Amino acid sequence: MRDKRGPASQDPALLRRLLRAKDQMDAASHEEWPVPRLARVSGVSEAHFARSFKDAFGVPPHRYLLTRRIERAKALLRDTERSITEIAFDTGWNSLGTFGRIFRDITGESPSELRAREKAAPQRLTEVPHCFVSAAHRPNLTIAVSEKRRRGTDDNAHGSNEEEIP
Amino acid sequence: MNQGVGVAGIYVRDQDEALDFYVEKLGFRVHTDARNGDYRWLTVQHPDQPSVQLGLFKPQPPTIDEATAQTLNEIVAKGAMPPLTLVVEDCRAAHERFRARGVEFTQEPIERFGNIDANFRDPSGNGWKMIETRRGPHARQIFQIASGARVNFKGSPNDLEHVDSTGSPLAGASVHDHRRRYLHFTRRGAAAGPIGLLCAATATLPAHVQRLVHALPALRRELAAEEAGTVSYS
Repeated sequence: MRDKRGPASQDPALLRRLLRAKDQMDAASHEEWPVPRLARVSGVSEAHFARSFKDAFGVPPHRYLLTRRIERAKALLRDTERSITEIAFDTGWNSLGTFGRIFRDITGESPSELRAREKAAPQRLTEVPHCFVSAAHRPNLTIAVSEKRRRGTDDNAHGSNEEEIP
Repeated sequence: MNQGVGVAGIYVRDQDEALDFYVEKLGFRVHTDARNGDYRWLTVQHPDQPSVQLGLFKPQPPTIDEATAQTLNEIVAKGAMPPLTLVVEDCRAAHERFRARGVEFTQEPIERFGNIDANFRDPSGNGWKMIETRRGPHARQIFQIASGARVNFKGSPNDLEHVDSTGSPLAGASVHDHRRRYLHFTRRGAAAGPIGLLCAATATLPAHVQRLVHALPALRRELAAEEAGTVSYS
């Protein structure tokens, strides 16, 4: 097991290239980001990419992508009138069911519940540039979605193993 | 004398590289470039902002120890340093210009709430948000509102602050329909009457406007009547 205090120091030049992969996921979180594509962006071998990324940014790349998708979905639910189906597909999910389930796993409520709650309560994040507001709403996903789900619903058996679960 | 921030610095991995980036690519000017042995005090400034210097500092001994310097270089390269913003007159034009010079953009220009913004990074990893606020045109729009016209206003919430500062006092405001984000303001005095403003979202309004929004149920009823077609202001 790895030291709880985090990984040893990494080469800044490598980190800068890993940041490029993170930036590209940020810019297009609705797209598919398989490891080979990310590894290419960073100029890192596929074998080393996921570990290097996790060491640098604290979460595995795919889980990072999920948090960005959920963050974006939350913003769209809050700030637009688009249907939940549209939002699901626009934020990169292939099925509405998967979106709803992972959304609930991560945020603790369904997309429609979040929308209703956000509409009812005035926000106080005025005068803050958009990107920092959205970062403030980013889910802090420190454990795998599947793990979070298991802890939440121990009594439910989960037969399915969707590809979105990291 | 003018009081305020003099130098605010960022860490860079290589000062020559940073100098080239900020001066040749972004159009800053060198303010001070002074060496003392290995140490180099390097600051640049924006041509329109002579009172503020941006320091381009390399984390290095003797100011900090080798291990700390390494940690700082890692933090910068991870993009974990605090946000920076660059205000520009024309975001899309600046984006074209900078991109042609090889600036690494991490977000293309996007229009939201009447502003346009784009993101880029310097070679070290420092992230900049480039913002075009469009205060000018919206200020003019607000003067049209002040003359009594009823308009739909799609602008930055910052511009609503401007309504106050340009001397058109807000007597009240109300959400017409939260989900449609209509805001209606009334003015006092001779030109009294409601003004319709279309804004991005109440969530993004300045706090004083939010307070007004939630404090005026009467206006809200009035606006509901307008929505229902039982009253018209035109």
